[in-house]
Amino acid sequence: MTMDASPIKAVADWMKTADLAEVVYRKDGTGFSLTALGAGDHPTIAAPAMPAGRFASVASDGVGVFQWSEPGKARKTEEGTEVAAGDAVGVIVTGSGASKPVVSAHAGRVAKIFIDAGQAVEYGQPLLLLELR
Amino acid sequence: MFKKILIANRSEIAVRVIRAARELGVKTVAVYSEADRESRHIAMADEAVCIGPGPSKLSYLDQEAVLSAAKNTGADAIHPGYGFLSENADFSELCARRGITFIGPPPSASRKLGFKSAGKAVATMADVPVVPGTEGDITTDVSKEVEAIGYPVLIKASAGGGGKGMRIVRSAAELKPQLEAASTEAKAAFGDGSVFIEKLLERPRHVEIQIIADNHGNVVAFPERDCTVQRRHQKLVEESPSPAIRPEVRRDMQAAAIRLAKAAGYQNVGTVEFLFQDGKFYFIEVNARLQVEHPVTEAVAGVDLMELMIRVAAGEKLPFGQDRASEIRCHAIEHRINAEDPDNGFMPCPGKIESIELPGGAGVRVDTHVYAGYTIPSYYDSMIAKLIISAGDRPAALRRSLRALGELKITGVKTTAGMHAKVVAHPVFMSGDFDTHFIEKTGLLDKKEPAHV
Repeated sequence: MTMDASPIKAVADWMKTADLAEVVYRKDGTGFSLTALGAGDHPTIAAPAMPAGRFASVASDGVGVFQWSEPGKARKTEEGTEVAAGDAVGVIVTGSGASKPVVSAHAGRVAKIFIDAGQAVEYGQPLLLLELR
Repeated sequence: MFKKILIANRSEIAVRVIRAARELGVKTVAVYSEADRESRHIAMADEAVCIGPGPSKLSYLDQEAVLSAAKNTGADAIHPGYGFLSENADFSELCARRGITFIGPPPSASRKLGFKSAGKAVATMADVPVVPGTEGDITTDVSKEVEAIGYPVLIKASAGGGGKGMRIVRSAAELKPQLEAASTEAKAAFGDGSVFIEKLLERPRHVEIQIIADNHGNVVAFPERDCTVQRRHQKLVEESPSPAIRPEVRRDMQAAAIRLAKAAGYQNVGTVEFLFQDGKFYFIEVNARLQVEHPVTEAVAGVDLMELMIRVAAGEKLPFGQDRASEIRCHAIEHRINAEDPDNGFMPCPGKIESIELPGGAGVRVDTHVYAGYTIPSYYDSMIAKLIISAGDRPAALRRSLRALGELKITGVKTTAGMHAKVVAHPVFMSGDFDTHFIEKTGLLDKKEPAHV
């Protein structure tokens, strides 16, 4: 059985224009695979298809009233300040008067603040935006 | 009257509360979980607060989140709907401490009656007949006591309903393992593993009396609802009046329910549930909430129970007495339409409702929170609509039910609508002579080979 070589050339030419390391072509029970030159070191898919966002929001994980800190403590979070992952950026005071910290899951610089002290917040409400480091 | 009511619930009952509040000129606050963003009650309410993620433990059951939402929005009353926090006496107490009115029975009354075994003690005191059983929650070896009651017996969860934690025991050998299994199930479902035992009536009907009590000592009882058609202890079809209850039995049941309510100092709405067999009724429990099937009574008695319950919670007197409450103005049937697959053991099938056509016309009421394009979340129960059918008498109501069920068209998810039509069209159902084992005995929902025409 002979094989028509014309699709091979067409695919090889196309591969040069595309960022592909290997192509497999199958038709009617026959086919071929092509590996691009210099593809011994396959490009790994280290980077996600979309670059990670530069920003991430810190949201309320409860219902209550937002405060920047426990009573009597100084406000630490301002636009421009640096936050480490695990840092408390503020507190939510619930109806009972109990408060729980709002913890940032990310490290970054506070790029934008959406909330004022004393404002009512709901679950999932974005409080501030971090520019990720 | 209240200024603003927060509804600590979801689905059709949240819609129901909002409708009543709007008619009363009261503002409403919806609370919702992240999984319920699309629910119609959010769009209908004046305000909405997201209180947590999908799992109800982290949202609808989170008392602090609900109360914080009430504080943030300035709500002066909370309507709990059914399920979730509706029969949680601790929650209603907490509401009172925060200066918010809980629209429902006071904690003292729901503690006296809400727990099944406690309710039985009050019933005995009030001279209301009860099913023979163990006294109080089971803490010690009860095999002798059960022997005296006589097998078969039924194990029930003290804290709950809906068939969770229920077990039938037919012999002494099964008793211990079944008690343990029931307790574990009850603990998982209600956070309380307390169980008790009752004699099992073999062919009872489930008949219940809706009551409402104001804060001024007045109690009225409405005509009974018959919820005999059940599947695995879950009510499928509810109707009123019952085809099996004669007027003198009805009067006795209503009087018994009122005695019980007065003995417990009951306030607001409640349902006194009875088993009925061989002309006798036996008290089983009080549901200290407005139940799913309340519209059946609304149709039959021509009243708005939701409005009444809000009014009496606000301190108003009942606007009528027992004579008015006893009136039977029509025959009514409710069909709970669930997103479940009848061909696959009634597995809930959450998913997107592609299209929906609701029935209408004379005597047809539909309570629902869904619409075309709505996605049913997987976290909660599978009920998507209630059809409440009313007509001059039972045969006319059954014909109207079939007509309305035929008009209901839902694509995208499977529903139990077809099953309801099968029930209504069944000769045994039509005859009115059946018991709580109707579904099993008729084999109505058994898988069948497709009929060859």
